[in-house]
Amino acid sequence: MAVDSGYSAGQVAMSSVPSMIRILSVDDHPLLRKGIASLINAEPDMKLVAEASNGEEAIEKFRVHRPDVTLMDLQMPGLNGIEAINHILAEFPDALIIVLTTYQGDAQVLRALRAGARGYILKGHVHRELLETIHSVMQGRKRIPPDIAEELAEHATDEELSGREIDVLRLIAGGNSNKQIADQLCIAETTVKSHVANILSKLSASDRSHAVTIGLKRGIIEV
Amino acid sequence: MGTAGTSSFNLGPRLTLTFATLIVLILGGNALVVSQFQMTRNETDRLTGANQQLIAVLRLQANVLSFHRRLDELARSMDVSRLVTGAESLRGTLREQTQQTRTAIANLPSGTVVDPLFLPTLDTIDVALPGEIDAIVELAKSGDWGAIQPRVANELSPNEDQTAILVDSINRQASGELARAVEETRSIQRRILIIVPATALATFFIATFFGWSIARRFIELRLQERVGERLRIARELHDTLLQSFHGLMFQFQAARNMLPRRPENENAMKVLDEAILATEEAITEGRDAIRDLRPAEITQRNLPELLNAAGHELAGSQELNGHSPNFRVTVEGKQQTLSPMLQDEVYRISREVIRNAFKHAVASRIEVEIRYDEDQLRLRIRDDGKGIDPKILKAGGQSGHWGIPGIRERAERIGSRLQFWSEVGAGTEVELTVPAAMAYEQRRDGRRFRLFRRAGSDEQRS
Repeated sequence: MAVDSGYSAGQVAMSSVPSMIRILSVDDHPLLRKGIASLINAEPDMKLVAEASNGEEAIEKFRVHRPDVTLMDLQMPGLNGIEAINHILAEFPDALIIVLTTYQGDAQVLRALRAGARGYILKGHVHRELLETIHSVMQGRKRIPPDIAEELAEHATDEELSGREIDVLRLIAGGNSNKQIADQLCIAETTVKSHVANILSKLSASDRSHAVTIGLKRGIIEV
Repeated sequence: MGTAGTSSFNLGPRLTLTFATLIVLILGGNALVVSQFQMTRNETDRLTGANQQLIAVLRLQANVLSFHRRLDELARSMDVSRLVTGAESLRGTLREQTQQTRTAIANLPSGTVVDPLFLPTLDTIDVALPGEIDAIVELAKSGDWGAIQPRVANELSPNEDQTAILVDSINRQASGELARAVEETRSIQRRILIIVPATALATFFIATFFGWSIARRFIELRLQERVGERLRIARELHDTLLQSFHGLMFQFQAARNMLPRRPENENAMKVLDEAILATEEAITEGRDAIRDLRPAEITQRNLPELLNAAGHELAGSQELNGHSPNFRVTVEGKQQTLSPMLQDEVYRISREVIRNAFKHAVASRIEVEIRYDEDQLRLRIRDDGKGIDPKILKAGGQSGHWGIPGIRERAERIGSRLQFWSEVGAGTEVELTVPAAMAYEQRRDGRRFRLFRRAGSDEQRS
């Protein structure tokens, strides 16, 4: 799966061509990885050193190649993107990771940024923004597309949902009643009611279905 | 949504309960009828018993009378030897006859009340008449023929009287039984006349409901299957096709980036730029198509909200062309929760109709009226546009334009009715009606169970 070349193996490459930005690409879809490889390899100052198709592989490849920048998909089978970011940063705190995803929504972005991602690009914009983002990140800046930043700013002062409240919202989205939610989470129905009230107030939702719509849109819960 | 993948046919608790009620009702109704027949049989047995007793006592009376006559005859013959032999045979006949009567009484159907005087009378006859024969034979042997005649007359008549009283009493008893039996049979007849139609009626209602529920469940399961299938396709498209498109787009961009900025490359760059834009568009279209495939219920919004959003989205895209009709959704009646699968279908049908109005009607106003009636859900979508040629309507819509056949097919699948009214130049109105029991999630239960209760109380009254 990886396109390792002898040239880019390990530290040797770093020292021989110091200006090259060495990149690891992580995505479960082969054609998408191929597109990213083409984009990067078309640049004189960038080099794709390895590819991975899931979280575990990403961690392994990172250890071997120590890339300058890692491009990480969020939705992958097995260990997902956020978890992979957590692992890599725990081991290599200076790793520069850029998230590439199809998902919008401030909660998703926030989760990635909290995990330590330096950049966030929607896949639909990768061909226009990737190179610039890589350069910015290499210069030590964080980079988020303006529309996503705007959405983040809009909810920056909102009180966040707790883990339990997210669980409840997810169950509401699954069409469960308060009683069913109480049974599934092994808590009292009155507790569920107070969670629901908190969710509605935190999301400024008018009712349960509105809360689910907001939750899906902002990436707090997924379909 | 969790059951979207259900593959086996799950009857569900409500249907199981209905089925059980149906069986209980059929068995209960039959048991009631059988019990009525059992009662009739008991009545017949009593009547038969009374009649048999009457026959036995009448036969006894006849025997006593014929005994008297025979003895009288022998007494008048004045012939000792004839009287002695005759008396012997009379004694034998009498014993045989009383024995027969005793057997007849013992064999009466169980439950027959044997007259309390019957057995004492038989005993008296058994003891007194042979004694009488002995006394008369003695008198004849002593030649006292004069005493025989009055003795026969005086000593035998009490027995006859006693028998006559017994006959009378048993006759009265039999008549009483007969009258009672007639009365009882009549009331049984009346009861059967109520039980049978009531059971039939209740069975009919519940069987109808049962059949209906099964049909509904089938439609529900089919819709679930379709929604599940659509969801699967949506996921598949998102995970494969869309990602591939992205990959291709990146490659175009890579090729574009590799071209040095020189005049001779200008044409190639233009072509690549166009290819990139086309791919971007394809991705946007693909994403919209995928969103359309996902069940609308996933957003947990109600029908008015969904249609409002759909209409405004269409109005928004229309605005770019400089012509945007005024769009409005009105709701009448108390808003009901719709069965989720059905809501999705109704939403898709309505959205198609609204889309048609936006695309083809050149209307200045498009209105959706949602009416929650007791017995049905009714949607009316009307515009004041150019209308559809009735010929086209009749032919089922122009191919490639008004997707009327597709909408009709959808409407039929959920057991709803779709009607079009249109005149060239006078706008179009489309009406979609769905029966309440099919459409509403909560209400149908209450209504059905009310029906149950009514049928149930009929049953109890009978």
